Amino acid sequence: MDNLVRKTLLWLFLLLVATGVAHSHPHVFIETKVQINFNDAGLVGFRLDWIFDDMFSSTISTDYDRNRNGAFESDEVDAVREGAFSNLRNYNYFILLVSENREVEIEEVQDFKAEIIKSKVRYSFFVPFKIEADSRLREIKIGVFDDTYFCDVEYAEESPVVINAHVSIDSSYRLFKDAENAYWCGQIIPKVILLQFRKK
Amino acid sequence: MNRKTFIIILFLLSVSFLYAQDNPFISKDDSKTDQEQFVKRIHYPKIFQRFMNVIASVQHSLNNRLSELTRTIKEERDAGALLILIGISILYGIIHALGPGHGKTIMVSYALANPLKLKNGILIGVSVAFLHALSAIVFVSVVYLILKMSYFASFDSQKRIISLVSYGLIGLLGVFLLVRASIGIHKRRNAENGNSNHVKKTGNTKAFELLTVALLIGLVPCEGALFVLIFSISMDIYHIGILLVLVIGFGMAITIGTTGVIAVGLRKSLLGVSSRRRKAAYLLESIFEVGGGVFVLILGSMLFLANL
Repeated sequence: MDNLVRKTLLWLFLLLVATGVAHSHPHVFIETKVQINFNDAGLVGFRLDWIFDDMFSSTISTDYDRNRNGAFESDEVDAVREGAFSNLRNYNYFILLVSENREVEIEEVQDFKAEIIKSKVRYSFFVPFKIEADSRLREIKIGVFDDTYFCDVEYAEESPVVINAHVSIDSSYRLFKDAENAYWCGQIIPKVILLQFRKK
Repeated sequence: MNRKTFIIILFLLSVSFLYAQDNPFISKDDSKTDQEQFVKRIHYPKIFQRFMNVIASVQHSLNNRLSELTRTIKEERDAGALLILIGISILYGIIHALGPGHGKTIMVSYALANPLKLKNGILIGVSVAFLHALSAIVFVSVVYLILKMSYFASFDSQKRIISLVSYGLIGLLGVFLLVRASIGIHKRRNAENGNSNHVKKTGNTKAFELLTVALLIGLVPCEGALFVLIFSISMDIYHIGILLVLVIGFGMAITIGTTGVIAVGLRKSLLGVSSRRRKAAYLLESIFEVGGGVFVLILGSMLFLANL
């Protein structure tokens, strides 16, 4: 092979690595819990809790715990939401939400909280998603993962999913490995919640 | 170093800011474009899935161990804990480099496409890993200790303009190199047909190239290393953080170096087997070279386009 072509390949190789595309992932570890809420009309939405690993937690708190008191006051929480959360809108807040075979884009989340618990940062936020319950069996999929794999998201060991049910509604869920939604060039299979419910 | 190389190095220096475009908490995802959707369809073979899932959970628990042990050392100054921490860090580096990332693919393709000497294969692999870690140390030291800024603050939206310009320049550079390469092939065809003025460069150029490659690759910090360092600063044990990151770099070097060794060995053994039949050997070598090269080209171009 011509030396020039070889040199070109060398530089391309170099460029690829230089732009970080060759980097290994992930760099942040998140432990998540999901709380699914119903009222007498049906599904109301779900609340996500994320606990970050120590390293990324300290990156967030160094930046945003400005008075260094080990807690986020409400102005600091606002800053966290602005600087280290709101951009996730572009990634659907790491949520895969499928209803009636269609992926749902999450427009807004509510009630964002950021806390420091034993030096780990915890984010908590509510995703409003209303579905009326009737006699038909409804199925929705909720997956929580970062498909860029900058973050590795795992479900908490204890009570990863909690359903705040309503007496008039039958509901159940299961967690399963959703190979259909394997991400990062098909290499990582996410665990996804399959929620089923109907009016009693 | 000639002027052209210097200019290229300057362009790429500006690239080192761009790695944070990787972080979804900071950078916008332009993946609604067709190109990015297309890139997302490149799938590695399914056999990697189970392996990757295991790697992910191992890394997750190692990460927890790392921070627990760091706290223990901070509180109890236990030398035994420090030794265990070093062991865990090496393991962490090895596992982290095994995780998903195109680096190994690129390394293997490159080593298949080029007759690298074994020691040079190891050299690239080891340099890449160490310098990744080293530049994280440089970055954190400059930003946190000298500039007194911090991670999120240093990547505000204004930097996006710099990054767009840099990516644009890289794109142009890529085009320029490809054009030059095709001129080179054309010239060589002519040389084969007629005069033989074409002289191959050897030895020294190769070593220089390798060192430049290593240096430039090393400019981009590993984000994982960044967060470890920031963590250690927050606990006032920055020196321990630096030690850990160097050790993690050593672990990554083991993995990437081994990948290089395997690839060089693979090329040698596959080509060696057919050396009895010259034509077959040439054909196989060409397949490797062109195949490896094309693969890197396609992967690279698509990833660039996806980020533009």
